[in-house]
Amino acid sequence: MGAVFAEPRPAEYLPLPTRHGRARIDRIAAAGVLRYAADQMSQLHVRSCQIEISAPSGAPTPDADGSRAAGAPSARVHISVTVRFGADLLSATTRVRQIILAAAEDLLGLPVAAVDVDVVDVFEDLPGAPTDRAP
Amino acid sequence: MLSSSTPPDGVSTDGVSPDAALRISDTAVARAAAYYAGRVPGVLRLWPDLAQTMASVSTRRFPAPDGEYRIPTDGVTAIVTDGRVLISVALVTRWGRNCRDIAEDVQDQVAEQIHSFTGLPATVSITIAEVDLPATR
Repeated sequence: MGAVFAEPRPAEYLPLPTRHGRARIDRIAAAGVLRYAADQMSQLHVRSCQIEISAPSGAPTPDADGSRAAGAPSARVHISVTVRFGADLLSATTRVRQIILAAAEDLLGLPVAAVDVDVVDVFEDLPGAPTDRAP
Repeated sequence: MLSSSTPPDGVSTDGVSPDAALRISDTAVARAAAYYAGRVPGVLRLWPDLAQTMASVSTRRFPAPDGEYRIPTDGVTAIVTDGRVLISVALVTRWGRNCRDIAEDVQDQVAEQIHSFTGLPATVSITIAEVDLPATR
């Protein structure tokens, strides 16, 4: 069964700034983590999430022994969402930015420089549908 | 000489003693690295590539005739060269743990254990191929 899941597609990776050696994470897996984190909000649903790596800045950031993030590239996240009809749009998009930035640091260890949010649609819940996620 | 035959994929380590040589194959190092990498907290499982998956299926289908259990090298490749070890580990982590920290833990643990196992310095590259998310809504 494992052979079924071993995809021959060419994978793309994002570099993870570690102290020793080289580390990287699959771009789709990383986007899935951010998407899942943002999708916990009840005010919106995530349609898509993509991560791009921008060129290394070259400026070392203060960290541990200094080797971790020297010249580390930073990521830019593009996320498209549908927002609950009637929700405060600015508040919801600000919150999703905060969640993406926090998840990128806490769950991936990937520095994110910017989060672009596209609101592509609005939705309403069906009458009686449960909403048990965070606001 | 501790070993009279040269493994096809290994090199000798110098400095064991003036009249002795110890040769360690890439496969032996890969098995040890897979063993230790899979035991680092936060690592859900190792992630084999297509060739390793096929080999794993073949091994399960046709077990070794000598009855030995061989640790799978799924997701791990190792190269012993020039008195050092280069190891590549592909793995799956669990949602909620910091991927960078897990990668560093695996690099630390595997490099340390392989160094104590072989006496050779090891450089470990990590690829996080997948993050296992909780069941989606």
